[in-house]
Amino acid sequence: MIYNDSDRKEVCRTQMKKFRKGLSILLCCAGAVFLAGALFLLFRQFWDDRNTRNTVNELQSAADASREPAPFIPPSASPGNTDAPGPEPSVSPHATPESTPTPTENPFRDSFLANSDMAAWLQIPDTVISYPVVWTPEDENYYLRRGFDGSANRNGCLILDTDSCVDPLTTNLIIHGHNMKSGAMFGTLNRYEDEDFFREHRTILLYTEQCCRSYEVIAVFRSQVYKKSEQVFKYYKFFQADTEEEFNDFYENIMALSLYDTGVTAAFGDHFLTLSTCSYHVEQGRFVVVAKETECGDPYLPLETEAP
Amino acid sequence: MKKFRNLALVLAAVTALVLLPASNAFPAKAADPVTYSVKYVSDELGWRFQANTSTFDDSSKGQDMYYLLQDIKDGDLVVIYNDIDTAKNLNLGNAHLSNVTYTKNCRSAIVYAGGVDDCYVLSGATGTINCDVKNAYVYDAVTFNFNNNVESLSLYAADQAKSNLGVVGTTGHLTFSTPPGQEPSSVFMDYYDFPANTLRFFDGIFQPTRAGYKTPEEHAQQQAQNPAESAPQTQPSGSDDSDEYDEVPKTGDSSLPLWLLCAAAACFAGGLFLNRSKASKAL
Repeated sequence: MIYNDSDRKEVCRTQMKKFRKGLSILLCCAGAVFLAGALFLLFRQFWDDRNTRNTVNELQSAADASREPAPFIPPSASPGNTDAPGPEPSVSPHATPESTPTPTENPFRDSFLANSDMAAWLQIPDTVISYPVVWTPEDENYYLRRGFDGSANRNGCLILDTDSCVDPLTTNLIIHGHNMKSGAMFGTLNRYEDEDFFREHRTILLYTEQCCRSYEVIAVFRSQVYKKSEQVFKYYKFFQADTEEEFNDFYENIMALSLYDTGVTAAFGDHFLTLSTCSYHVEQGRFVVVAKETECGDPYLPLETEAP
Repeated sequence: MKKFRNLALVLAAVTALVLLPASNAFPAKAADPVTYSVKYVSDELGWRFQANTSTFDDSSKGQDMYYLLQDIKDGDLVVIYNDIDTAKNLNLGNAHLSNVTYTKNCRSAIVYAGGVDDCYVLSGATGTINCDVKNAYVYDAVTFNFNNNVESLSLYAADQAKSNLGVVGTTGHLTFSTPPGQEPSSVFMDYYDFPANTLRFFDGIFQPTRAGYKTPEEHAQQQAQNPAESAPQTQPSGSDDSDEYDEVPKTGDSSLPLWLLCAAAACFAGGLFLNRSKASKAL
């Protein structure tokens, strides 16, 4: 068969049409696949956020309920207390004996009992950061992508570094948490870059099994995970200071790195709490907030003991 | 041919949209170094810049830093002004700058850059620089931190050091002398090879122990014996790719949904474009 020029052009045009149509369909299909993938991932993230929020809210509300003050009972109406003598007025200059604090029930008792891996509850007042902290020395990454109940969850849990310990307390407690775009976990920690935010949120609370430890932010800085061979200051390698020199080395480094002067100082014997999350200013970047312990609250009753 | 060109354009656009954001495929190239003056403008709640000038004209607001980050390139110069007391981050991108100057009494500016040849810290300045610096010149009393390596650090003061100063990386050579041009001139310190995170001045008091640095004689002796080892070992920004990172939990979040959305948008746009051009041809 012999084609003339116009036939050849027509064939070429028809083929090109088919090709364009095919390509158009292919692109739309690829777009649909990408869109479905994105929606699936976004839905999963939404679902994980919802689960995390529900779990934390449940535990938090249980803690809030246990913290509500007991109704006041006048001494005379209190059974078994009627014969107790009142304090005698004294004129002698004896020193008054120090009153021993009465142990109270741990507000997060239910959470501790629900999961034996829980080491503490971290709270930064007036922020969304209020989460349980887990400690799994045998596998540090166990809760990296698991929720408090052990189910798969991309938010994971706040993780106490395996080399840190709350009992006995090491000099530095390092807590790692995901920097989630949704703001969950340590997703809002980098707001400490703003000095005004620090001024309004300088206190961090850590409820352990034993007591509530209060910390004050001392340094805020960006750092990174270094290679094993690199001989530089690695904040994530400091857990215990047995000598003043070790303590000062960490202290001076964090103060030098700090983005601003917090006005808080520390001395050998103080304890630190280090909150660490990913940051994207460099490869393997980390954003770090270090706080110094200012107060250890009254001891809590052992978990097995119920409050009277 | 026109159809082929259209097809090629669509495919190229899709490829570019999907692949280019992840890689800096189009680095800026320009011939002459540009001087930028940068100032934190509190009315704008951010840094602003003016190009081709080393002074900042307060009567004009200056441009948003976004445009500087688009244009800045290796060899450019940046002059920093800041009257605000609170610390402010200043991202200058990844370019290797020929000069960064913290002006007199410049308040706390935390600079991020890809590297700096000459860094001038003038009297009364406060700040931090987060990149390797080849030559640093520090005048009178400052409060300053070099968070990476410094090859050569020159301090200038009339008689005694008054600065609060720290170098987190290594320091190859430290000199402390009277300012250039002052008579009589004196050199108060001339030391070499400070390991990482050892060179510090607190209120002008030199902190390193004697074992932590070398005198010019010791340095010359070592250089003569083993020239390869005479240079200070660069620590924080080394790139030994064969080595592994320390084991620390990876706490980042994935950006995959965002990339997938972009890819989907690009594909749909491409498909739509082909359909529309087909329809217009049919008409």
